[in-house]
Amino acid sequence: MTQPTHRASVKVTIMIDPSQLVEKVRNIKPLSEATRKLLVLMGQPDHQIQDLVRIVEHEPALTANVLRVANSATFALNRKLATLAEAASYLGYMHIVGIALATSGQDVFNAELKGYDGSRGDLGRHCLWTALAAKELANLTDDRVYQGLAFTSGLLHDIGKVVISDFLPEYAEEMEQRLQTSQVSDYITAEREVLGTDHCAVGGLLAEHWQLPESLQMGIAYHHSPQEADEEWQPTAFVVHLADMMAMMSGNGTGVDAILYGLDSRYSEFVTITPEQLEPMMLDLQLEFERTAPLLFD
Amino acid sequence: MKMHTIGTGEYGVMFGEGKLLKTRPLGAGVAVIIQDIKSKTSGLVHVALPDSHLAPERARDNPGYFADTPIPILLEAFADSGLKRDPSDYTVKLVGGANVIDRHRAFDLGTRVVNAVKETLETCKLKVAAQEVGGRFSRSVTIHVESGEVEMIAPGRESKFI
Repeated sequence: MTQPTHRASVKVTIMIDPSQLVEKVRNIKPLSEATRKLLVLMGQPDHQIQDLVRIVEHEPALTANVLRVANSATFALNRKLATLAEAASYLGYMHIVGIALATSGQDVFNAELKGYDGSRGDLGRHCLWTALAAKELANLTDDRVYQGLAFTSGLLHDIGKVVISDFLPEYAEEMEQRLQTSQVSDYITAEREVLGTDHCAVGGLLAEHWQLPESLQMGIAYHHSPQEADEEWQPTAFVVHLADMMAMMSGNGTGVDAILYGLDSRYSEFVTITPEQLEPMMLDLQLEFERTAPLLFD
Repeated sequence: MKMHTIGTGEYGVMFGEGKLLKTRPLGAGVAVIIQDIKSKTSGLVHVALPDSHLAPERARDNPGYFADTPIPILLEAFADSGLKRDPSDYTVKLVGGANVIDRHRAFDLGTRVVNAVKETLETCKLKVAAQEVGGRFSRSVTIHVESGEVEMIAPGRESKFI
């Protein structure tokens, strides 16, 4: 980790102290090895549930959590699932990755986000809503985005907020002034202008700190500027961009910035969606979210 | 204070002292508030989508989600509480409907929900007394049931009574 910008193509001038920023990223607890391996696996197009089981079984705490969730009242099974393989097959990759991140990345996903005026748990819930939406939107990309990558990128997309949040209170007045007087059109521009960086670039740094693959770094670092992602990963970045917006539209934002972002209309080159498709999807996602969130982030 | 939170697609009617009726953050959704000031009774629904006809099966299980289904149900709930009134006796307020600008239309959901709610209110002969809708920030609502005050809350902003 050398500088607080994710890639050379993202031009930012750091106004907050770069060494402090890097220090804060470095101080974030690394993910467990099993969680990191699961995320790397999800960044690849082909994986079987057995591959996930082989990773999870090396971590007793994670194995116990997977079994706990599978046997929870939410699923109301008529028999107890005793083995990890059974539980993993029943839950599927989404729950496994969600449980791993909620356990190992608790410091991030359960952070309070004071700088965004968010509450504890808001980030985890927002990221889960985004992940569920990204998984569905991947189906509308003509096979250009695979579901596992979309889901996992959605779960991770806002991790940079944990770092940025600590710097925001000092600049809150300036941020507010620019937004209220319409000097800037959205929250990400305000972050860039006032702080000299933004939660996407810092999220890219944290993804690097966590040794996540490029496929996941792209969805994180470019979810508000998807057209700037490397061409190969633009469809994924657009899917996360839209899914993030849908989560905010559902009311599951992270605080003061909710909906204060622009929508890149070039999404139509990557995702085909009409109002008639979006509306029932919003309902199905909200119902799925309400079933899943208490298992992971409440 | 006794507080009751209405989730997305839920609705409720409340009266009496020391009670708060509130929504979660609304996003593109709209809080429809129907009040009978005389009896200090407030009804609230958190509408998330404009049109139940797009998903009739889901609407049967979740009528509160759609703009065209829960308002008549709320009025029935008022009537069931012995408060059958003329539509002009009710005070109606709207909050929410934050919008995303999308030239392809799919994501401009907030505007569609607000318009659909207003159409339903018109059909029910209910007039909107006050509203805080649109814009690009998410709000939530807290109703102080006894006084009938409707407080609009948005992160990073001062709360406002409408």
